[in-house]
Amino acid sequence: MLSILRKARLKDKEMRILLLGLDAAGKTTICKKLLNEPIDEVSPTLGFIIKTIDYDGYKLNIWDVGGQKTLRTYWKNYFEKTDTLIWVVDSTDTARVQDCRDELMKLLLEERLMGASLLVFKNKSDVPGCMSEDEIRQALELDSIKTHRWRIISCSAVTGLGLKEGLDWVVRDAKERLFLF
Amino acid sequence: MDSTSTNPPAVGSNEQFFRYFQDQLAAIQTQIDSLSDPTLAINDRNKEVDASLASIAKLSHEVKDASSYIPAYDQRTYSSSVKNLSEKLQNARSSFAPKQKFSFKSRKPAVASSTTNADASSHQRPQLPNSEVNPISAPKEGSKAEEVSQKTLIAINDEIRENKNVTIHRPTFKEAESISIFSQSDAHIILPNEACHATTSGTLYDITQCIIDMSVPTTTQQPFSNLKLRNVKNSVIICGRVQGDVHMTNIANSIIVTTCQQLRMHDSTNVDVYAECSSRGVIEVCKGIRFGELPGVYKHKLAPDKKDGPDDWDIKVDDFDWPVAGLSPNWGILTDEERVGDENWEALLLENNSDVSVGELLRKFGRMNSMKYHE
Repeated sequence: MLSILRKARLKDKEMRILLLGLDAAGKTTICKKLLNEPIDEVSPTLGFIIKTIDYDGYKLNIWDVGGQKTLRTYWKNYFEKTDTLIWVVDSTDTARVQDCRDELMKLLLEERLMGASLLVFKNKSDVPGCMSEDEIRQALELDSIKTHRWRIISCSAVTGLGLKEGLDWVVRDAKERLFLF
Repeated sequence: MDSTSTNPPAVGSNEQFFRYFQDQLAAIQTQIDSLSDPTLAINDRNKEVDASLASIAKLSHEVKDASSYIPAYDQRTYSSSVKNLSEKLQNARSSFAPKQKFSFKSRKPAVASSTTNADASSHQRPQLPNSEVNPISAPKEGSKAEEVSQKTLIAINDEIRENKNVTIHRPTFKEAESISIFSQSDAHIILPNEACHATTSGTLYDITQCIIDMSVPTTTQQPFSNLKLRNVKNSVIICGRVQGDVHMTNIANSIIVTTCQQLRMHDSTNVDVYAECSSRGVIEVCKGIRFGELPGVYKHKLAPDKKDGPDDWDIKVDDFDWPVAGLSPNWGILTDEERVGDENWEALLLENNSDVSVGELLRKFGRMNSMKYHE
């Protein structure tokens, strides 16, 4: 059923992207940066924000859901019809990297996210002393993921580094998976 | 799917939608039941399955579309009916059509072998071939640099811990890439200007009865891009300037001073926050949090752009445990009487107060004297 739904939507060149991660990972800031909106007044997200980005002829509907503990229980309400899950990691936050791994693993077991690909955005990469891509990959045990296609990309919502590359992958991956051009 | 009304009511009344929904429900039900007809050829059955799937999906969408005018309770009933249908169809499929199309077309060869097990259909997770973009080998380079910096940080913190006779520590964080202060108690730490190369991101954890002042390098040189505080008790932390977010977890009976872009506080009790925050702050599972304007002595340092004005200070805070309108009981604004007097802040800044113990200073800040704050 999911595949039928997905194909129908890909024909309209529309994709649904779910942007998740722990609080203060930089989800909203990434969104704003992609849309060239000012990022210095981003407040913690209380519920969710939907942004539409036109990219490479595709309409990407990005669902940016707050990452506070209180809100994580509501993440499941947004799983349906997700084509790509973008997991945002604060690479300066060594203390919560375990927490981050646990939440991600929980998500990957979700039936309703089964068909979605996973992009891990290693955010705040512009900050000296942040964890490297390899470190995050090991800490999150990404290599053990067999149920989803995944990719990790270093990015910085402040400088814009890696964001376009990320979207590129999202769109390319969707094209490959869903056989539509 | 043939039914008397194949389109949902345009702008609907609840009543109309109910009738429409019932019609659709019955139709799909019939469709699913027809799958059990043993005379049905496999191809036809697959077609029927697809058609049922599409109908269910359509109905599910329509329920969502109608959510603007049907009450929440009814929505739930509708949704659960739709879910029931899906389950029924799933059951019908696994009992009659072991060779269904369950995967994406591109994966068909990979999944074909596993479809022999009919029962697995609803649980199988196709093992996707890992895309070529992920080299399996995990070279450990990069973590070496991390190890070195970790060792540097441990050494710095050990030094502070072991030199109890020093009243004020001024670690320069030489060779470190970021500030990290941890497992400290009864220490007075002031970051000197020379630490500015490391005030990129900061982490403070397991801090008890300490005074930590990071305002010098972060105001004159390099503000933190973000700062994390965790497990801080009976302490005064002058965070200084933070360009991004200050993320606080499990802070108890302490005072925080900061200028930041975002303020996030979790699991904390009895904390006075003197802050200038350029967005709405959030608190989650917190009690007894009081916010106030920056202390006079830090105002110009921490918020130089801020115009002087008697009553223009304001902070907006959202409480995740108080989603309803009205003021949350978990936080409030510091009254003038509750604020720490300027003379105490000034005492902190005196260069020659190195003979005053941390305990004595903390007592002036009201962070030592009371038993009620201890858990």
